[in-house]
Amino acid sequence: MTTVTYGSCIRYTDAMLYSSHALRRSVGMIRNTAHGWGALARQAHWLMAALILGQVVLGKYAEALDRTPQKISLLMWHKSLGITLLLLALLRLGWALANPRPTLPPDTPPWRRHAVRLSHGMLYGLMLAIPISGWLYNSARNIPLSLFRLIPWPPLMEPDEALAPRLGDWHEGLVMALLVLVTLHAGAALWHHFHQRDSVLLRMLFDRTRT
Amino acid sequence: MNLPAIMLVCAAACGPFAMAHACEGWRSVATPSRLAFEARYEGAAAPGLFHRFDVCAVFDPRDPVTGTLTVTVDVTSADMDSGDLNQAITEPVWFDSGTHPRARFVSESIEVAENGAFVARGTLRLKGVTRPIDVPFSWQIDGERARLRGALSLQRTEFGIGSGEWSADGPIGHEVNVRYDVSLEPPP
Repeated sequence: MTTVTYGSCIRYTDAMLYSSHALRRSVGMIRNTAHGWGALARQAHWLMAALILGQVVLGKYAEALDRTPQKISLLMWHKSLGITLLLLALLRLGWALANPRPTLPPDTPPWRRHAVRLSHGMLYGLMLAIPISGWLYNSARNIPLSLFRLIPWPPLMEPDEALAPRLGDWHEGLVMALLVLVTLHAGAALWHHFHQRDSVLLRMLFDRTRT
Repeated sequence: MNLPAIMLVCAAACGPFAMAHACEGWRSVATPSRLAFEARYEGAAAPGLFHRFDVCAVFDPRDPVTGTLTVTVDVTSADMDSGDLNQAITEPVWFDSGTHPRARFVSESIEVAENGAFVARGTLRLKGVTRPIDVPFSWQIDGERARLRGALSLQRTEFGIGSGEWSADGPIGHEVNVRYDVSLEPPP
């Protein structure tokens, strides 16, 4: 009886080891290293980049519509996606804090290191502040919200007619700031790739955790 | 001033309360009476209430079938606690409260329902459309006053509320739940 249990335990462990190796080969390291971004950070980066850009387009488009059922639906999707992005940003921030950050090329001057830290901090700040400002805006206007028509979502503040337009302006202003920063961010990545010819852009695209 | 002009002034000034003065039965008092509704807005509960309404109940729970129940609602007093929604619901596709400022329920019969409750069968005129509806209610004597409570559900499109592109059971649901908890003072 004991032998059978012991034997099956060994086989189980072998299977676990095998699948973990196979997983590692297919997606690479999950965690970041000093050399490169792990699979989770890379995938979260591109997934959120795509969702955020889609979200900006969706918000702008829906906002410009006359009051129609389509507008109400599109704004519900915008708000649902926005709260999803807020939760993703929090998870991503937690993951970033729990992981090493890949180092910058050694010849990077201190002012650029500061600029990187500042702009990345601001990107994280905006990824949190934009959905929160949208949530506040919706709460101040007291528009009922159920995420994806499924999850009743509470307001973040009491209805406030006077403050609502200003919160809307803030929401838009923060998006503008994000677009400026994202442009700088993408520009810097392209500058690294084409001008500096280093791996800063490539390591966000591919697994460079071991080199 | 000629007679039509006087009537016009009265209609504008007395509003829904003209009926209240003519009430021979139990009459609602504004506080703490509540007439609330709840619609669905993209899957979310969208509550609102009517600030001004009058209930007149010629009613004796020991002899309910001889009673009558009349409810007049000032539709312009609808409040969803949101400037955006409050503005939207006055529009012609919704309540069109500029053209139809008052809704009125008049019972044709009152019957005894289960659990000591009652149901008033009658017609509701809302946004110019008259439809038969049942108004279930319980009746409690609470000191000097009576308390009439109940809930019912309406299909908004039966009254043309949310017309045109809004008539689909889409972002704004068809079903609207109505709740009432009315405090009434005794007949004069």
